[in-house]
Amino acid sequence: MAEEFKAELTIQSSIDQLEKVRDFVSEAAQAFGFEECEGYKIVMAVDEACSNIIRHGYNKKPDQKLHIVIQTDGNRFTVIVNDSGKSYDICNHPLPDMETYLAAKRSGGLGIKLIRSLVDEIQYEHSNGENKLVLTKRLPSR
Amino acid sequence: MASFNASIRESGTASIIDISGDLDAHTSIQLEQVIQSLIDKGRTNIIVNFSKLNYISSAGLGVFMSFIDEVRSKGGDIKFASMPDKIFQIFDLLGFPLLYEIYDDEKKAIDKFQTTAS
Repeated sequence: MAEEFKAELTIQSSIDQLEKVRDFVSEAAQAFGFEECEGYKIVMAVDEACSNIIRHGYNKKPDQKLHIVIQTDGNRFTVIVNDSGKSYDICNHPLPDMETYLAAKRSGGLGIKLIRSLVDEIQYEHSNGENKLVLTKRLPSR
Repeated sequence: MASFNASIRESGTASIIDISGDLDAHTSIQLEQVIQSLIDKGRTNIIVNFSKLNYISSAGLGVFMSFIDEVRSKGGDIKFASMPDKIFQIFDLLGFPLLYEIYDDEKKAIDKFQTTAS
């Protein structure tokens, strides 16, 4: 049975810090009970989200911060990413049609599609200059 | 720490890139440089062996997309081999098997280059 827990991590807004985020989420996801393929999905979703915040939200300024919180509730594994960069609601982002994308050999622009495909629930809030992205993945029932 | 590494070995007409560690937004430049170096030498029969890769992000996927047209226009290809399930699921999710040949083992990819050449 998955144990409930809460953990937090703060990183600088530099892409060389993404590995710390992935290790943080991966360890927690494994402890929660996700098998390798399912755990990879939430790790990737968080990695893509943080990468977008660093590159677009903060325009690659490396002196800003991202605060990541993991909390669990029953079979729900939730990762909250907090930042104070430019606001952007990924829930309203137009997704690429993959047939067209592949035919055109496009490069880039798949991060949001991946985030939305890899987790079960997404919520976004922007308030008082702060962004809060909430990604939830449920443990598959056995 | 899962740092990224890309090393090259040759097998007949094919160049095999063994990638390991984490291929993300920070490390993808290294893979770009390796692929570009092969193209510059005229080595465009490229196989990427994923067996030791721990993680790939959309930035890593983008590296392959950015080179595929050029490599194919020169008569070559980028084929993939030995993908762990956790990574193949992402390629599959995005429809990449429609664009790339993905093999269980690299010998089949090497053989395919030989077959194409003859």
